[in-house]
Amino acid sequence: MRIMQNSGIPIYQQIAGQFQEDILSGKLKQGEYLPSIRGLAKDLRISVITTMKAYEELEKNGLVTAVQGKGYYVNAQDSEMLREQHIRKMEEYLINAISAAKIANVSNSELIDILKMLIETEENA
Amino acid sequence: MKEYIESYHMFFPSKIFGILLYIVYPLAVWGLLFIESLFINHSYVLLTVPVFIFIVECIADFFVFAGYSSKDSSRNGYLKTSVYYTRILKRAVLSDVIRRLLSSFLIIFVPAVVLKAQCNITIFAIISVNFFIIISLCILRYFDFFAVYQFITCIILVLYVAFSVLVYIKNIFIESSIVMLLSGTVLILFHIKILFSVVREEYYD
Amino acid sequence: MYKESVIKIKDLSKKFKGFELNIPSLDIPKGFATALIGENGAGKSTFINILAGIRLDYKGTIDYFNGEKDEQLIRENTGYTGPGNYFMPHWTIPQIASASGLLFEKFDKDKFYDICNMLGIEISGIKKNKKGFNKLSDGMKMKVILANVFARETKMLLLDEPASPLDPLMRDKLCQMIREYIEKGDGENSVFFSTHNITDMENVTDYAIIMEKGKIVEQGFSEDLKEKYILVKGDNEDADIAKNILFSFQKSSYGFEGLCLAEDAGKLAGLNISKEVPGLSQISIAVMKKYTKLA
Repeated sequence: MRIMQNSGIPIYQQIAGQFQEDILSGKLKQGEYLPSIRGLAKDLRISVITTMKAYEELEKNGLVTAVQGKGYYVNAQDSEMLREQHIRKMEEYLINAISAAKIANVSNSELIDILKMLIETEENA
Repeated sequence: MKEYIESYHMFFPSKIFGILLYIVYPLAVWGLLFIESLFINHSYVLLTVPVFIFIVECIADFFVFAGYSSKDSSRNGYLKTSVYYTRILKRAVLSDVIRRLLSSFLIIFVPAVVLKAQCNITIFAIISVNFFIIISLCILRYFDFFAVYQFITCIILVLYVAFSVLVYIKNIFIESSIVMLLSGTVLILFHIKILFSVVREEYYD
Repeated sequence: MYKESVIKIKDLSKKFKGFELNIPSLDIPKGFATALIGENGAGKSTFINILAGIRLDYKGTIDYFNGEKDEQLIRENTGYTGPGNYFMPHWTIPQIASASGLLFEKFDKDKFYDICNMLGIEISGIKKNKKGFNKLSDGMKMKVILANVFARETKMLLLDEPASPLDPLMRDKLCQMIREYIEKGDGENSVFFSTHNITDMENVTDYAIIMEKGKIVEQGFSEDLKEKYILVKGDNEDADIAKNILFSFQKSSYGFEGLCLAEDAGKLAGLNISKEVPGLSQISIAVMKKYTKLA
């Protein structure tokens, strides 16, 4: 677990991201408990609220479940189900983009061009 | 018992003070007495012992409990956080009284036996010196200035000597000792009560 | 995870010459490290003294440990440290150890000496220690005070300006000691400390309370506060527009910078600005400035 203090990416997101990788890659198995929020904070030398927020983020994304008094354990990662979850999210965001485009009077072909450009920019970043 | 002693020693300024108080001081008084007896060949020389005891005890108290009868929050930020503060203070003050009784007894009794002094005068010496020291301390502990300690010690010493002369003239050694014993006890309890209320006050502006 | 409170305060007030400490309601979260941030004279020490029970002249109610009524239990489970006059000036370290044993039930003398060693406090042959507490340097004094409080078994620490006299290395060590204390309690141990400079303690701060002239002007979990405010930087040509929206506005020849609420970010749309996540230090300075302007 490596955190970069001044990278611009909030620390909790970095932590959540690294745990997400470990979970999806199978390094952390289903049912396994994540380190306690306070123990992790101590080891990483950060505040407890940061690790807590990282875990809450993982919970929001369906990767872990919180158990009062015991901590957070890894959910069964049905990759197909997860993929569907994310696809649903993607469709939600795209629908929002389409309505915003309508309000701004952006035509459909313009919208698709902007989308292509953004994808290119993301890939180059 | 051990806790009483530890509570008492908490107020000592240093280890050296303990050595001075428990060992050097009695030996010094006996030493002085011995030197005096070389010049004055009479058991009256014993009368200087309570005077020495009175002066040493009053001055020594400056380094232990000076200022504790008056409100001053500056010394005990830590003590105030414990609920045992007053208990420790009470134990320390009582230990001090008992320690003084024992040491004055020892310092007076040993030469008294050697010089074959009268029994009633010996008893009077031990009790009266403790009684007058207690009176002094009740007043002295309001102050945190060494000069004030010295000044008040002198004044009460004069009163003590005058009182002793009076008792000698009227030959009421034992009667006065009983009165002093009882009133001394009351005074100590009253003094501790004052200390408690002062500690209480320190939690307020 | 459910967030409980270790201390609940209602209608706390204390009048002083010049200002009044006034806290209508405050819940200090349990199992976390809370920082009380404010300038010197903002009322922080008074507030902590009241919480620690060494100042009793105040109005209002304070509830400890979810309704604990036994005063002795509360004091026994609370570790308070303060600046200035704490230990008796003439006490040596062995004397501090023996006094602590008398004053508190759960004081561990061996642990105290261990922590002293770890912090580099010279005990120089425990039996032979001669230096009185008053003769130590400010930094050393605070190390001894901290070693003492961490050697007790407590559920809550109330630390008044613990970092101020410490050098950066020791401040970092203190943060780690706080994290270990909180981990050991597994949600039951809480830390509350005051500081006028949050920068060194920011990495251990879970909850921040910002105080100005005796009143709480902002509070929240540090992660939430960092989302509530945005640090905005831009070019001078936009300075006049930005000035009205940002607080803690600063201008230099290279451009301007300031803080604004995340919800107000839209008002800056169209300007050539960069947005950053602010640190607690920047947030507290901005909030305190804002409050002072209004007052």
